[in-house]
Amino acid sequence: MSEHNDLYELYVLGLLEEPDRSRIEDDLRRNDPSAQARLRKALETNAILGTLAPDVEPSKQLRRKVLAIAEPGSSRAPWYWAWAALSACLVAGLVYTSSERQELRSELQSRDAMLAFLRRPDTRLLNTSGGAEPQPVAKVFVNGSQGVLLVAANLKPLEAGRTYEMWVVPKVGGPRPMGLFKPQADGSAIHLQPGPVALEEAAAIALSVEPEGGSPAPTTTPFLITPVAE
Amino acid sequence: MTVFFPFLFAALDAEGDRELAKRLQRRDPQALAELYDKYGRIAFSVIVRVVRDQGIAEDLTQETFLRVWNRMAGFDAERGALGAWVLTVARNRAIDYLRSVDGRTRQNAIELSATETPAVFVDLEANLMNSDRARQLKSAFEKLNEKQRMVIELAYFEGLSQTEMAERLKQPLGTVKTWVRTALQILRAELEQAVPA
Repeated sequence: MSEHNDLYELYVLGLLEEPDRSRIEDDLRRNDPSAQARLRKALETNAILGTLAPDVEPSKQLRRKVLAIAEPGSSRAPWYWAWAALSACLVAGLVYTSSERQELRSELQSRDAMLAFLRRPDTRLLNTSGGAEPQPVAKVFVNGSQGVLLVAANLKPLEAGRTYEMWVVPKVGGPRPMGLFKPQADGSAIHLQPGPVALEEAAAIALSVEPEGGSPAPTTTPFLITPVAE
Repeated sequence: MTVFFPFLFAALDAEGDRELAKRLQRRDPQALAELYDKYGRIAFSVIVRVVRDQGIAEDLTQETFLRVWNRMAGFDAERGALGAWVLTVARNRAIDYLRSVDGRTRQNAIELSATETPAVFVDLEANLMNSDRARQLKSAFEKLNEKQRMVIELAYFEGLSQTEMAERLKQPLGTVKTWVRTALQILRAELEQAVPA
């Protein structure tokens, strides 16, 4: 038996290094039934390993805090909104077929990039105004060395052949394109434009609706204009 | 020292978890209370074991249940293993915290996220954490020698890769790999004996 077959427990703990990790992933991509079985056994073993932890009784306050999660309008951690939106980006399952796994990997990489961005201590949250109409709303996170992350809701559905485009509006000169995105059916969207941004030269972050493929400069009136305040 | 959760095992049953999962998917607040009462203590204990700070562990436990609550839509209520998923999310939150504190970056962090995806936890053994299997694991764990136990604890409770273990223990990587592989083989063999045919 190949040595990597003994290491599924480390794989599902996220600890397995190359080349064993790739070998296991190759087996899983091939839908090898024995690999799937090893994966399930490893998940089981790891779950049971948790029972080896010394028993510690949590405080009663913790129960109340956890139950507050389900209360409508409960106060949540400041990052809750972004975290919840990011979670919604995940596909429902991790199914080890080649194409689906690749798709999942891509989504997870994107999500991890967003989470890493949010976790950086030098990432700042800007205040957004949607104008007089309380329709689209957004939170914009900026990080001079990492880029801009937009988490939006209530975006209007796009007509065919149209897309949303994000812009950095500099203090001097025209808006610079910051990537294209399309909202979910419920109007929510998360868009990360990675890479350095000259925040000291930026006046605002904005969105506009553009033709499919984007535009070098806005062709419709920008909205959700978010000042980049120091 | 390892202590078990006898209060937990009596409460664990697959049928109950199926119904509980369905109610969680319907956003039933009482179901969240039941989920916490069933798995909150063990999740908290795992997190405390990892982060060794009860205040931080409370925050991470709250985050664990928030994550589970928000991701219930992706969980297969009929085939899923709710307890295994909750424990995995709890352990991962704690390891993520350790890594953020240590400034440890890891190339395989994607796999950590992927393996707590709810849809992964399907078709696992029913009554996964029932007393027989848990006792069997304790028995198997006690059969490990000190070094084998240590590497399992370093992996599960400290999130160290084999290379990191070798550095921590100042041992050759090949030696650590042997300890890990042997330990896992022993645990696996003992647990397989405990699985009803």
